[in-house]
Amino acid sequence: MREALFNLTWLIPLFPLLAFALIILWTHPSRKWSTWVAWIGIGLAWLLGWTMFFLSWGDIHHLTPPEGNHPVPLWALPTGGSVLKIGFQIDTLTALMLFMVPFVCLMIFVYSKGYMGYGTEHPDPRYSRFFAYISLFACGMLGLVVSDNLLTLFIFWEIMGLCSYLLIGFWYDKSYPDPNRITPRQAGLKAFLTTRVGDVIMLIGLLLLYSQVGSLSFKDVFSQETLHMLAEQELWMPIFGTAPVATVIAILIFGGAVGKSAQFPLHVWLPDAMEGPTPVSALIHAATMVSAGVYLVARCFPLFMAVPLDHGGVQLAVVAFIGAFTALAASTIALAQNDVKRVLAYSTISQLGYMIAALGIGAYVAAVFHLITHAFFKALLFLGSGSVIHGVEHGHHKIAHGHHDHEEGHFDPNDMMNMGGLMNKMPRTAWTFIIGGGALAGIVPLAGFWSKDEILAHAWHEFQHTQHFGTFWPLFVWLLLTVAAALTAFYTARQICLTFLGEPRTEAARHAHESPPSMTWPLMILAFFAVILGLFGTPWANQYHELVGEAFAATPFDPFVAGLSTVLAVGGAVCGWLVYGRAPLRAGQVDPLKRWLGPVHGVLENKYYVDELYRLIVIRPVLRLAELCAKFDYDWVINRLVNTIGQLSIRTAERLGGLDLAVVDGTVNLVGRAARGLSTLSNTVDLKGVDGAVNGIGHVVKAGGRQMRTLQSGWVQDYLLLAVTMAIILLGFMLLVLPILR
Amino acid sequence: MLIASQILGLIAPQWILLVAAMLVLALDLTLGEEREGWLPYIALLGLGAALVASLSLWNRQVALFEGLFLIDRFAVFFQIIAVLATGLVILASIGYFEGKTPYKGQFYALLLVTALAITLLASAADLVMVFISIEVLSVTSYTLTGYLIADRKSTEAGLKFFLYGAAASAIMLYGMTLLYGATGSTNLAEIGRTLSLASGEGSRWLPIAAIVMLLVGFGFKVSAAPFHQWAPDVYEGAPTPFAAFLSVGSKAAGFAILLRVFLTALPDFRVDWFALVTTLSIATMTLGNLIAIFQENIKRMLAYSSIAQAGYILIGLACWDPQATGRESISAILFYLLAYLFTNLGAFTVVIAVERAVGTNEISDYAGLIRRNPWLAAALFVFFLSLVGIPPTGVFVGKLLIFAAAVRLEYYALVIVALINGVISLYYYYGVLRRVFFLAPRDEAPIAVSTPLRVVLAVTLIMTLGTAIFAQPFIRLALTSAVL
Amino acid sequence: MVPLSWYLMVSAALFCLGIFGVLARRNAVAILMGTELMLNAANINLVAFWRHLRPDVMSGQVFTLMVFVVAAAEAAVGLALCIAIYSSRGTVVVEDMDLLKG
Repeated sequence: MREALFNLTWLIPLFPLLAFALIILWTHPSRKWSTWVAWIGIGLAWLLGWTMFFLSWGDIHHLTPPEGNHPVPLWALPTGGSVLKIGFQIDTLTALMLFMVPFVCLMIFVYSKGYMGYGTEHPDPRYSRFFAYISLFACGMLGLVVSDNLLTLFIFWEIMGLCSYLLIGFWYDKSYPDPNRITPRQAGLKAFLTTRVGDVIMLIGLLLLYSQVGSLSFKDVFSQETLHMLAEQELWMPIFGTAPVATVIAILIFGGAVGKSAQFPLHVWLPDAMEGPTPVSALIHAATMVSAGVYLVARCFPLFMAVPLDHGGVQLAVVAFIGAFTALAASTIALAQNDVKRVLAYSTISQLGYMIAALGIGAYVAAVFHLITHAFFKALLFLGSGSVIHGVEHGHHKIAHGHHDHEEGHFDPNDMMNMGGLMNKMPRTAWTFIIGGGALAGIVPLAGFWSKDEILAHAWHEFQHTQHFGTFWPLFVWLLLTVAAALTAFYTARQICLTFLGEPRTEAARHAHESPPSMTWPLMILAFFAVILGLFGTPWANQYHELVGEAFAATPFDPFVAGLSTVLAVGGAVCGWLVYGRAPLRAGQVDPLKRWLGPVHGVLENKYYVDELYRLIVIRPVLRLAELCAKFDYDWVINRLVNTIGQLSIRTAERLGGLDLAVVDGTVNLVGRAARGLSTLSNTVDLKGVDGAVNGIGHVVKAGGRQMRTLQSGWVQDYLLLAVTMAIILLGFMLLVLPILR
Repeated sequence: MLIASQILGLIAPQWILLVAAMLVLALDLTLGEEREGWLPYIALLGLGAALVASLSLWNRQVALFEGLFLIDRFAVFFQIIAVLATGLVILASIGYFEGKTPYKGQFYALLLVTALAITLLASAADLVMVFISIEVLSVTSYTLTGYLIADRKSTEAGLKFFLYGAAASAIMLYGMTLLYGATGSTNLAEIGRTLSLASGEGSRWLPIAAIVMLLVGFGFKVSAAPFHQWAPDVYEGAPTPFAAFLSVGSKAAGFAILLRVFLTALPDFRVDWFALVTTLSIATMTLGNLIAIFQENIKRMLAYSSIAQAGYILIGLACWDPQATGRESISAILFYLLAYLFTNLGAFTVVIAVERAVGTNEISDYAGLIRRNPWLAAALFVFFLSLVGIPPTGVFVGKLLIFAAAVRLEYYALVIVALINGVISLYYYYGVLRRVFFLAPRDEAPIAVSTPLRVVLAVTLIMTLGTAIFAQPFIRLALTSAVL
Repeated sequence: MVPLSWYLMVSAALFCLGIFGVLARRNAVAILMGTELMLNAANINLVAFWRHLRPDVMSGQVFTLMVFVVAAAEAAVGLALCIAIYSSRGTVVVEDMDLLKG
C-alpha cells in the first residue's frame, strides 16, 4: 500500500502540469472552467502530497536517509558513455515540503479567484492565463521537491524561474506616470536576469559535480564515499588558490540559492517582483519559490558539511555570513518602506536570510522548521496585504465613479500612507493579518516564535559549547539575527498600525470594504496554521526534529535566548505601537521615523543604493559595451552581413510569432468550440435527460449530433489537430494505461 | 525460379491497367473532340482485360520480387473489387463532366491508375510496397478530387484532402519506420515472425507505438473516426462519381491493407490493437450516424453514412481471433465490402442522376422524387434499406456475418452498440425517403436517366438484392478469399 | 559510432517540428513543408535503423529512396493544387477555405 502510493510520487507535479495544458489548450475561453481545472489540479496534488506526508510521519524510519529514501526511477537517458537516470523520490525532507507546498498553493489558488475578479464586472482580461501560469508554477515547485537528482531539480528550478518571469510581468501593459518607478515588464526582466546570474553559477557547480562524480542523483552524490572523495580532492583556481572540491561545488551551488532566495548581493529583484499580482507575490515570492534556495542548501547539506572549517571548508562560513548579513540589512530597509508589499518583500528577504544563516551554523532542523512556518505566515501576510489592496482599490474605484475627473492612475493603492483605519472596514483581513504579523515578529506562542527561537538558540549553543563552526561565526550570526528580530517586530508593528489603526487617511480607504469569502477563507485557514504550526516544534517535543533531523543533535532549550528574543520581540512591537499606534498618523503627516533618523532614513528608503550601484558598475558598462559593439557593427566592417542576418532573424522571429499565435489561436478556437459544444451538450443532457422519456433520448441523440457537427469546422488544420491529439491520447492509453489494466 | 514471361503473366492485371491508363492518356491527346466519347469505353475495355487476367490468377499463391509482392486469393479478391468499382464509376461518370470541365479523358486515365494502386495495395507484402501503393492511391485521389479546377468546392476539397492525407501518411510512415526498427525487416511476414519470437516485455512499446501510428494512416484511408474528418468535405467537393469511388474503392483498399498488415505482421499484438480497433469502431459508428442526421447535402450525408459503415466493418477486425473466428471474421469483412460496394455505388448513382437533372445535391431537392422518376425512387429505397441493414439486401447479410463473429467471441456490447447505431441511422435515411415518397415536388418535370447510368443502376440493384437472396456463392467466395 | 538513440531523438524532434508546422502554419505551402519535415524524420529513422540493425540488407536504404520519390510526387501534386486554388481565390491560406464544413 505505502510502496504503491510512493510509486505515484511522479503524479504530484503532473496534476498541475495537466491543468496547465488543459487551460492553455482547452478551457482558455471559459473563466469558470479554467478556475476549476486549476483547482482540481492543485487539489489532487495536495491530497496526494498530504497523504504521503502523513504516511511518512507515521513511519519516519522508513524514509530517513541514507538508506530510507524512497526512489522512484522513471526513465534513463543514455548519454554517450554513461546513463543518466532520472526519477523521483520521497524522503522526510520531501515529505515535509509536500506538507507545505501544495497546501499553500491550494490556498492561493482559491484566493486568486476572488483577487483576479472572477464574477465581477471587470475580471482580469488574462484571467485564465493567470491560472495556467500558476498551475505551471506549482508543477515546477512540486517537481523540484520530489526530484531525486540535481538535474531535474535544476530543470524544475528553471521552470519556476520562467513562471516567475511571466507572472511578475503579468500586467505587462501597465505603466506609471513616474518614469523612475519600475514597470511590471521591467521587473519581470530584472528578476529573470538577476536570478539567472545565480543559476549560471549553480549550473557551473552542477557541471563540476558531474565531472567529478559522474552522476547527479542525490543518492550517488551524497554517499559517504563520494563526499569523502570530494573533500579530499583539491582544486586549483586562479586568484583563489587551492580549495577542496566539495567547498568549491558547495559555494557554486549556493550561488543558485543566493539568486533564487534573494540573498545579498542578488536580492535586488525580489522587492521589484511585487509588481506582479499579489497572489503571485504570496505564492512565489514569499512562500514557495524563494524558499527553493533554502531547500536546495538543505538538500545538499551533506555536501556543505563535507569539509570542516579547519580543513579549508569555508562554505558554511560563507553561507552563514551572507544569510546573517542579509537578514539584518533587509530588516533595516523594511523600516523605511511605505509600500505595504515592499515591507513584506524585505521582511521575506530577511527571513530567508535567517534560514540561510541557520544552515550556515548547522541548525538544519531549525532552518527547515522556519522554512515551513515562514511559508504559512508569510503567505498569510501577503494574501492579507492583497486583500487590503483589493479593498482600497475598490474603494478608490467607487469614488472614482462618483467624480469622473478624479485623477486616475496617480493613486497608489499599495501605499500605506493612503490607508489607515481599515480595522473596522475589513475585520477578517485585519485580524488574520495581525496574527500573521505576530508570527513574523516572533510573539509567543505563534509559529514564528518557536522557529526563530530555535535558530537563535542553536547559534548561542554553538558559540557556548562546541567549536564546530569556529568560535566567531555563531556569535556573529546570533548577534545579527537578534538585532534583526527586534527590528522585525518594530516594522511589523509599524505596518499593522499604519494600515489598520487610526483614521482613514484617504477617501479610498474610507470606502474600502471586506473582500469576498473566496479571499478571506484562505486567510483564516492560513492564520490557523500560523498559530498551531509552531506548537509542533517546541523545544520539548520537536516533531520537526524527529521528522527531518535524525542525524543531528537536538538544540537544547535556552531560557536566556528565549527570554531575550521574547523581550526583544515584544519590545520592538511595543516601540512600533508607541511610535505609530498610540498617536496614529493623520493624512499628510510625515513619518516620525524620518524625523529621527534624518539622512539615514534616506539611505534605508533607497535600499542602501544597491540598485544605483549596480546601475553604475554593471548595467551602464554593459550598455556601453553593447553600444560600442553596435557602433562597431553598424559603422564598420560587417555592416552589410549583420544587417542581412539581422533582418533574416527578425523575419524568422516574426514568423515564429505568427506561428505561435496561429497555434494558440487554432487550438484554442477548436478546443473552445469543442468545449462549448460539450458544455452545451451536458447542459442539454441536464435539462432534457431528466425526463427520461424516449423523447428526451431522441433529443439527446440529435443534440449530440449537432454538437459533434461543430467539430467539422471546415478548417483542415482543426481536423488534423483532432487527429493528432487523438493519436497521442490513444498512444498514451496503449502505452501507459493498458499495461496497468492488464 | 520464375522466368520473365511468367512474372509478366502474374502481374498482368497491373500492367494491363497501366497500359490502359497510358493509352487513354495518349488517345485523349490525339483523338479529336468529337471522338472523346470513346475514352470511357476504352478504359472499360482495359478494365475488362484486367478482370480476366485477375480471374486467371485465382488459386495462385506466389510471392514475387523478393517477397515484395504477393499473389493470393485475398489479393485477387481485392483486384476484382477494384476493377468492379472502377468500371461502375467510369460508367456512372459518362456525361457527368459535360459543361463542368474541358478535360475529360484524364479522369479515366487517373481512375485507372487508382485501380492499379488498389491492386498493388492488395498484393503488397512489404512495408515499402505498402507505402508506395498507398501513396499512389492517395496522390491520384487528391488529383481526382480537385479535378474540377473551375469549381471552388472541388479545388478546396482537393487541397484539404491533400493536406490531411499528406500529414496522415507521414505519421503512418513514421510508424512503419518504428516497426522496421523493432524488427530490422520490412517484410510483413518476417516482421510477424520476429515479433512472435521476441516475447520480451521491454520490446513491446515500439511495435505498439507503430500500431497507433499505422492506424492513423489506415484509419485515414478507411475514414475511421477520429481520422475521418476529411471525408465529408472531400465527398461534398469532389466530382460525384469520384466521391462514389472513394466511398467504396478507396475504403476497400484501406481495409485490404489494414487486414494484411495487422494480420500478417502484428497478429501477436492482437491483445493490444484489439482495444484500439474496438474504440475506433464504436467512435466511428456513433459519430458518423449522429452527425449524418443533420446533413442537408446528400453527398455529405452519404459521407457520414460511409464513415459509419467503416465503423461496422471495423467490428469484423476487432472480432478477429486466430483460434475462434480467424477466417470467419475476415470473410465477413470481405463480404461486407463487396455488398457495400454495390449498395453505395448504387446510392451514389441515384445522386448523380438527380444532380445531373437538378444541378445541386440538396436533400430538399429529393422531394417528390417518386413522381419525377419512380424507378430512381425505388432504387434509392432499396439502397437505403441495404445501408440500414434491412433484409433482403446485401449489407444486411454482411452485418449478420460480422455480428455472428462478434457473438461467437461474446462481444455482445459491440453488437448492441452497432444495433443502436442501426436505429439511429434509420432516422436520417428515413428523412430522405420521406421526402422522396411523401412530399410534393417543387418541380414536376420528370428526371431523365442516361443509358450508362441505367446500366449501373441495374447492375447495382441486382447485385444489392442478389448478394442477399443468393448469398451462398458470395459467402463462399469471401470464405475462400479469406486467406492471409 | 554515434548511438542509435541520438539519431532517434533528432528524428523525433524533427517529426514533432513537422507536426507543429502542419498544425500551426496557415499557408498551404508551408503546411506542405511541414509534411516534408515529417517524411524526412522518418527517413532519418530508416537510415539509422538500417545502419544499426541490418547494414547487410539494403531494405532500409531502399525504403528511404522510395520515400524521396513519393515525397517529390506528393509535393508536385500538392503544389499543383495550391496553384489551382490560388488562381481561383488569390490565396492559399487554409483558414480561408471553409466552403465545405458541418
